[in-house]
Amino acid sequence: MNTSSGINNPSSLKKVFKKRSQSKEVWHRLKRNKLAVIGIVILLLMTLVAVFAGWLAPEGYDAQNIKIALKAPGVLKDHLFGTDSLGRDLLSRIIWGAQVSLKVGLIATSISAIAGSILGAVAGYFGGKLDNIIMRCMDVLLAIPGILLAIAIAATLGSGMTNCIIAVGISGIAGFARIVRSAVLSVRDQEYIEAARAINATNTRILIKHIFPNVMAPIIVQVTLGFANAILQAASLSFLGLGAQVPIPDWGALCSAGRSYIRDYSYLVTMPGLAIMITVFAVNLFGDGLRDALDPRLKK
Amino acid sequence: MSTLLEVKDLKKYFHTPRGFLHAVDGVNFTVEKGKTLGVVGESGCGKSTLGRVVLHLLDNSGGQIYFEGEDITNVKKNKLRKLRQDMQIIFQDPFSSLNPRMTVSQTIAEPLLIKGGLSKKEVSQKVNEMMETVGLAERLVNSYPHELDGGRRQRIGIARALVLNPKFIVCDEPVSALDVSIQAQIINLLMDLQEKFGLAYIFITHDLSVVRYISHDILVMYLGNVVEKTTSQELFDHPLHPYTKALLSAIPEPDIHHERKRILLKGEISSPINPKPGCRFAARCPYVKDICSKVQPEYKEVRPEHFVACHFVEEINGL
Amino acid sequence: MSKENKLLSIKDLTIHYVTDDGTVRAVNNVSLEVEKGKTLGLVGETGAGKTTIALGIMGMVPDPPGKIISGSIEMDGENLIGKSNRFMRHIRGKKISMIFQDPMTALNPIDTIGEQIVETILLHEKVSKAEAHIKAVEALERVGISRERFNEYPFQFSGGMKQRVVIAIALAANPELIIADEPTTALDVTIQAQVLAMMNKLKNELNTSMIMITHDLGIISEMCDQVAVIYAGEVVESGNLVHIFDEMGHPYTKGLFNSLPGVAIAGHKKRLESIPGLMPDPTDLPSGCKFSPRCLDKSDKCDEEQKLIEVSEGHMVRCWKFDQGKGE
Repeated sequence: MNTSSGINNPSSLKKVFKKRSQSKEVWHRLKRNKLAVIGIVILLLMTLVAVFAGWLAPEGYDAQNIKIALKAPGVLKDHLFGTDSLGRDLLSRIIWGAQVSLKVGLIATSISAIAGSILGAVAGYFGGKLDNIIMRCMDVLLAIPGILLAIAIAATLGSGMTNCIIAVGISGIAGFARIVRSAVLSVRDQEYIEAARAINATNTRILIKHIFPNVMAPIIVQVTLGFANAILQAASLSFLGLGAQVPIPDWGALCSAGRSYIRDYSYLVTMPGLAIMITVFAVNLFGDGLRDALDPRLKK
Repeated sequence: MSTLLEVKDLKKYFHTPRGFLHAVDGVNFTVEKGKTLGVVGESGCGKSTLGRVVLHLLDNSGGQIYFEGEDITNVKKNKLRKLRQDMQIIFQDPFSSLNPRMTVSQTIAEPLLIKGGLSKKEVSQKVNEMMETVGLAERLVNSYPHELDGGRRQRIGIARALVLNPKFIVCDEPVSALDVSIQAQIINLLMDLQEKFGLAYIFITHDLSVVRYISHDILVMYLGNVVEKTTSQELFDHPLHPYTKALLSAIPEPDIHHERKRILLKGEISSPINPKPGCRFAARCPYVKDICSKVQPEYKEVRPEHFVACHFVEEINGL
Repeated sequence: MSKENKLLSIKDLTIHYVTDDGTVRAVNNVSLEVEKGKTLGLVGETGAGKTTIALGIMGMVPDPPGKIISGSIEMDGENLIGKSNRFMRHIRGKKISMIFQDPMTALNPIDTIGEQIVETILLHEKVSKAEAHIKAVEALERVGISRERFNEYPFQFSGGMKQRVVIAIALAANPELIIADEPTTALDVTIQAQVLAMMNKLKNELNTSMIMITHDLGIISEMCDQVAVIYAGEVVESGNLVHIFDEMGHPYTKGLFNSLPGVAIAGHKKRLESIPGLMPDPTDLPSGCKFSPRCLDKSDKCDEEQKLIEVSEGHMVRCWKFDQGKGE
């Protein structure tokens, strides 16, 4: 009896079947994308800054010194980015701000991702009335421009970082739900799902073990892109006074505080603005690179 | 009793915006223990739907299904779970029938994990046993489907269907997507497994030479109806229904000395949505008469163990 | 075979795809000939290189990553390799037409089928639009589609009818050579019979030459005059129908026939003799005979590169076992 396992498979086959799991394959492709690598490096640096803010920042974020207020960057040796109206070191404020903004981005995106994915998956998998109800609610949320929604929620809940996080988180749910739903729809009719039913898998098992792992790609991409958006939205809310309250140095709040001085001391706005821009830019580069690396069609 | 599965007047209709799609429209057959029933037909004949309805992957729209004598037509969830251990399926597409994120061993182990009651070690042992049975090398245990060729993937699908020791397996075009030399390997495997484990198969295919080779009995379907049913040998020696004759004559034979008398059917396969009354094959039949478009032909035994649904089967064949 | 009868002559064609995971040696020193008015069948399994050969003839090998390393493709005294895109555009449709496997995607869904045929005619013949329209209707009726369907869209046709439209387009400018790449694989058996019968009829009427690419030996026996068996990018056996079907030599060819259930039944065999193993990875082809790892008759001599040996007039086999009387 000749089955293929009995025959010495030529070494050529071994080489082709490199035991590269799919994540390693994706990482390999990601590494080749130079822009994505730049994005990753910047993000890593930002994260390090945020985590080690206490060690890196020359001063605390609330160290006031009226005597050296409003000094331009580079004028004073110890204040690379200059000082604000209360004499606080801007560099330190921005470093501490990294911690705040990244934390907001992470938590808010998590809320959007988890709630949105569950809703989208349930809607996509079960279809019918449930799908209709969930998605019409999502449609309502999506009809309101993201920032307005966040403002409305924050205004209702009150100001402060916690409420800011909740507001930004909620406003991102519908986007996730949409994406996850369509990903689930495309996976749901695959034969291996039918196969799972044929071996008696329950719907829960199918959702967790079969559907979710195969829709991770769009979720991951949306997480990175949503992260950027969350930082921006939190910054906007803080800019409007609905998020971070004085003296929390959320980057948006820094921009807001510097607003009145923008003509003569524009660095007060441009420096934190740059921080936002670089972070969001890096996240987008990473997200784009990740999306390309995860695209199975780019496999030769 | 050697009859494992009996199906009576089975129907499956789909609701479409344009009307009812009669996918399976009154089908009767039995499957014997350890034997293979081949089901052949072209697009739209309902053979794939039939397989899935028997397994309750699709709900039926009428008729009865009996398994080991018991009526399982509208079986409840709990009974269905038990039944599923006895009735399994192998799919056509070795690419889409496997979860791309699960390794070979994970895919084969899953039915056991769902059933429960086995220790990790026992599961692992059974998986290794299965892999050896279907001819998958041990080193492939942690491989992913995308790393393997069609033949190996199909072996994984077979192992997954076998692991619960089923009594019968629906094979839905299991070799159609494979290269000729790999097809032969898989067909041999399926036949060996049948002999070893006493499995019954419903073997669904459009490939007449494969079905002839592997089946004991054959069902020929056209637009949801069975037009002819008999043993494999008898079908090829004495095809009686005009469609069967045309189907057999249409196969390109790799034989340069045999002069083929081709029966070319006119027209296309009609739509299974809201089918017109009478014989479904009337529009293309070379022997069509008036009555064919009005009255559904009777499915009757014309020769011993040879059933045909055609108004003029005796006249056409000189019986 | 005299020179006047040769339409297409491929010599030592080698095509590689250069990828990050290695060089895919898709076609290796393939030599083939197509006679005027005759059909050459290329038979082989997935990955053997048949489609790449077809793309090579059409000048459609994607570059990058594909590269024609060596060889020549001669037609009407001209070597098609290395010709400019402009030259090849003139050839395609007018001299050589290709029919692909999947009729679903070969037609533009937003143009009527009539328009698509007219477009092809206008591209290759200097006629007025009105004349092109007349020719298009003729082309349509030649493939058995009534002229009333001229203004219908592809979605209104079934698979078999779409393939007929594709064939009508391929024939519209009266090419000298048609390359058909698995044209009926996606069709039902009875529809396939209709389409093949139609292709045969047209071939005879128009005296078109054809290269028929398929894995189905049955189709080969019905449609082809000459056959070449392709394995791992090489021609392992070639000849006319009698050579291949009655006097087959190469172990792979034998293996292919033995894998067929129809043949097994005819020979009263109880078991299909499958060929063990798999086709080698084209990025890592074995040295020597490329089929030897799967050959049941392997010996030391198989480690050397194999040449094509003429077993009888016109019958070539790539296996040293047929090298009789050349001195041991």
